Amino acid sequence: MNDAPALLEVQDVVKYFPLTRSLTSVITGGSRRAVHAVDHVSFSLNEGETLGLIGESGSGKTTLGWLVARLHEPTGGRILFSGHDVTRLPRGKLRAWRRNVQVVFQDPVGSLDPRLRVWQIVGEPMRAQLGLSRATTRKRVEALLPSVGLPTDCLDQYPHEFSGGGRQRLSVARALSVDPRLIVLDEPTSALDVAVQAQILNRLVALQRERKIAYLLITHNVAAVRFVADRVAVLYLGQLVEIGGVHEVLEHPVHPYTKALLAAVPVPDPNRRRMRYRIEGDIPSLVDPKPGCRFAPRCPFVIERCRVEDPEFRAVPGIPNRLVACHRAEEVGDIPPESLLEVAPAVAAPAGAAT
Amino acid sequence: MTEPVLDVQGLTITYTVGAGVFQAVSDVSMQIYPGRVVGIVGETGCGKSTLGKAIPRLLPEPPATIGSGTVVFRGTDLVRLTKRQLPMVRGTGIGMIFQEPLNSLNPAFRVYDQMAEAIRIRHYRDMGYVKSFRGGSMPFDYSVRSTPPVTNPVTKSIVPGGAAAEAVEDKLRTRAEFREEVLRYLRLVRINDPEAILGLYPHELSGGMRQRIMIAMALSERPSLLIADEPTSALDVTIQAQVLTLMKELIDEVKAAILFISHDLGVIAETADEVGVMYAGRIVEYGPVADVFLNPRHPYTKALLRAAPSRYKSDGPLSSIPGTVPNLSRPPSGCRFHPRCPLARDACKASSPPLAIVGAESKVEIVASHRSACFFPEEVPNLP
Amino acid sequence: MTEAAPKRPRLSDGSLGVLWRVLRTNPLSLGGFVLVAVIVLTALVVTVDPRLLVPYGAQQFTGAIHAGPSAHHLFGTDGTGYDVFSNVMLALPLDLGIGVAIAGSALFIGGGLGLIAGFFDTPGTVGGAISVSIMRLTDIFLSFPSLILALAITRALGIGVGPTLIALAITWWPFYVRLVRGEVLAVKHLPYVTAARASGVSEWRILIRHVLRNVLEPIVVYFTLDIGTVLVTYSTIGFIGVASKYPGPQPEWGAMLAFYQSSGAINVYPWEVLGPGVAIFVTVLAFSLLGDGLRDLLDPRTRRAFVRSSAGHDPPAETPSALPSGGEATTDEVAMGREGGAAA
Repeated sequence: MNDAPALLEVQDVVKYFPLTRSLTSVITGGSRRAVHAVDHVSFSLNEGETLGLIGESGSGKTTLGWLVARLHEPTGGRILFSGHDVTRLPRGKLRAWRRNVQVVFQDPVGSLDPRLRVWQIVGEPMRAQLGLSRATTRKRVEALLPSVGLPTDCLDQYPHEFSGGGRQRLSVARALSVDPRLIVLDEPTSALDVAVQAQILNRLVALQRERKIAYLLITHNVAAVRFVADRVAVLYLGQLVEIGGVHEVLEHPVHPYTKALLAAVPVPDPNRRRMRYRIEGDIPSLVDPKPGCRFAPRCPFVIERCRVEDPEFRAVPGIPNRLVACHRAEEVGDIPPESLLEVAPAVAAPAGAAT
Repeated sequence: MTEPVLDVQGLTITYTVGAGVFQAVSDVSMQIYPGRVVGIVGETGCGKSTLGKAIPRLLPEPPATIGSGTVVFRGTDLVRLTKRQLPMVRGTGIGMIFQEPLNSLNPAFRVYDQMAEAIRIRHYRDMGYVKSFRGGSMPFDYSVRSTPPVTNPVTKSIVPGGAAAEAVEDKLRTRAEFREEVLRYLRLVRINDPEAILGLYPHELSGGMRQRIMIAMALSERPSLLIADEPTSALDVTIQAQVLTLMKELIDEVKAAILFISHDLGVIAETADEVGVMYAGRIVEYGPVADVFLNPRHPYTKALLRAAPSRYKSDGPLSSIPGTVPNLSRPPSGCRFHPRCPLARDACKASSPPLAIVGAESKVEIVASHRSACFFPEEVPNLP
Repeated sequence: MTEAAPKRPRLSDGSLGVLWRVLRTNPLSLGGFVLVAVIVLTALVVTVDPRLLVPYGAQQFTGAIHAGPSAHHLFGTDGTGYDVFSNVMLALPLDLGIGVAIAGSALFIGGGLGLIAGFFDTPGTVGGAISVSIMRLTDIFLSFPSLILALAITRALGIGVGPTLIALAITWWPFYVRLVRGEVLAVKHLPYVTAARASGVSEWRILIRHVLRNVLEPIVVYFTLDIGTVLVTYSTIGFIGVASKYPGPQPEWGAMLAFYQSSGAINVYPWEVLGPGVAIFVTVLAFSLLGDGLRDLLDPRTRRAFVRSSAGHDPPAETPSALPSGGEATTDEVAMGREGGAAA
């Protein structure tokens, strides 16, 4: 650890969304129920580094990203940016601070105001943060567009004239416009076709190299994380289950959920046809979750202890730079994810089936 | 000898929007035999969903028009049916599973009611109460193949040796029998406690559960052709893997022919026997899934496979395909892929390559030969 | 295919041109625009110098009683010997003014309250408390049948145009609170609003630039349609006989109808009713058509689509329901050409 504070430090952050109480529950004095979207999460991110945050829907990864961008108020915990606590910033200072952290949203259609033209959309943060005039904004936007691979003559077009990939480039340009130090990429490619995904991801990596921006890449796409991220954090039902270097985690996942996630990704390899997925059960509700490991109901390695005692997020002996929240990390650590796939029982193949 | 369940020949579909006309599907041909799974894969806008909706004539006409071609489903050309005949086709032999199960289930009805409706329609059809397009009942062999009961590797429960192994039974007279029939199909899709969810509304179910119910509904009509349009794309990865496992098991159990549409090469590789790769409205490569995926003979297939995400990929920039999908109101001349193709030559601009056999011709009737719509298929393996 | 991307028609080149192109593709809206323009112009002329268009005064005896329609008396004359056409024309500025004034006041009061109630509705804040108060007040007003309430207020304030206007203004705004608040609630959670907030745009600017701008279209459309509704309601009040009096120095359509109905003329001389009736019908219709036209004109998406299809260019890039999968095959050709080469 060096002395300089990390760019971003998330300390024990909690976000609960209270549910509306029904009248009967108010009368009977029932306790107030809440969705535990993010439940005691801590991690840090260095200058110019990319942390991939992977998880499925309901894992709280978007909520966490929004907390980092201060679009949600945390219920508990602290967020430090360059060593300064930004969880309690007053409104005016918060607005000015936003210059440091910009967000690229998932929905390439919804995140661009349909009534504004390209230069207005991309130039919005500049005008809000730097108070630039129209003419200067136009000029700067024009200069910025090539860096995201858009032509400069589209300044006066509307977002609906672009394809999904083009719109996402606009989003990236908007985020870049005020030279932030951190960009939260909230599922930046999940709405796009694979070939277009690759274009956007390549562009993001190139931009990071040129401008030394840190990324918090929120996604469910394991391949994107592998390509873009330096480290990866795996989130399940609002809690971090594993964090470590991207290659280490993806090649040697320790937590059973990480293994389950990696094994679930369909691979374009016809030889895997007979594989059956061994994980069962639905993702449980986030409303007042039960104690114990949250993956216990679906975990193939579950023991009694998992159901009663919350696992500690801890280092595992023998595996450097890794934190894992699993009671049985030492025992299950070496089991490969492929073991969660089993070959189907021999069913008489139809005559002449492809082999 | 063996008759295909579905025989599509030269199907062309155009859309007319405002003053513009574009061909969403151009000259598509394929056959699906009983018990076979044909995958259609391609990027957004390649026409794969249009194709899937056009077969049961679910496309809104207009703006869509089926310009030419035939869609012969078990001996009847669906293209030639009039609007009044259409209801007899739907729900009588072609089952559909859509991407977004929340939108495909009626939010106002409980699971039981939705399931019961599907079964009732099929029952009335079987009993000859309603006309089906072949007249009378559809004595069709959805019957599950005659294998002994298999053990579900996941639940360790015994799957009835073919859910519908008994011949078409006409014993749905009482409420209890109806309910039992509903439960039977819910069990078929591995819902462990079907009684518990009968009274629930769609919004009270998880996405994976909803999709299972959609599958159960589609199967309960005993289709001879099942069209699954991105059935797992809206689901989370681990849930998708569970539903895919279910579908793979059902494919083995059920003898229906399946048209499986997806943008995800991985999903197609895991489920399909044969695959058609679509680009800009055309099938550019077609053949057994192993041949197409392991030995692609069209530059587009090759590029698509290279761009597919994989956690096993090594570092270096991700590969993408230069350029964009062409605007179908002004498609490029000749081969539609030529503006983006590394192999493109003058011949590619001049004329459109036919879907010609590459490699050996298939000896088995129900297995398609490997075909590619490229003038230079032998050069594709040399591409990076 | 990427090299020669077609030059797209620019909206910036002349918004009048765009107006014309949009209207040309939709003759009904064009009709609405023309009708409203004619009506407003007529009202102006009548206000400035009635003699240019109106042959007789409001209470000028023409010498003929119950005369049928003729070249001299377009809508005939009534039982008091007044020219119906003249009275219909003289009533136009008043009726139109009432429509615009009432709907306008409701738009400003109700719209403003709705905007605040919708945007600052976080529970537990000052804004949230204000928001709740506004909505409760609105609910109280909405729970009365508005026509009855207006009648009651008019009676309490005394008969005449002024009291009726006040009564209508008091009862008219709650609809707009509901409407605007609903629209604001729908828009304020859209990703682009969050995106603006994340960019550091101030709340007030978000309210004006992103929220107000995106709710404006349905509200302006509703406003134009509403002018017609106000007219009908005012005429109803006039018809009941608590607003204007006919015959009198200032005619009004509703009051005219009431007079013809109560005097029994309606059974024998139907053309007398026709005059004010047609006037109300045409005015309401004109504003309805205008409302539909505005809807198309205000949305950049449909605007572009109209411009394109009329100019013989591409079909609209995305026509959601019509193109199940073809929707995305769109217009980014310039954008990708450059990047694709670099990436591959």
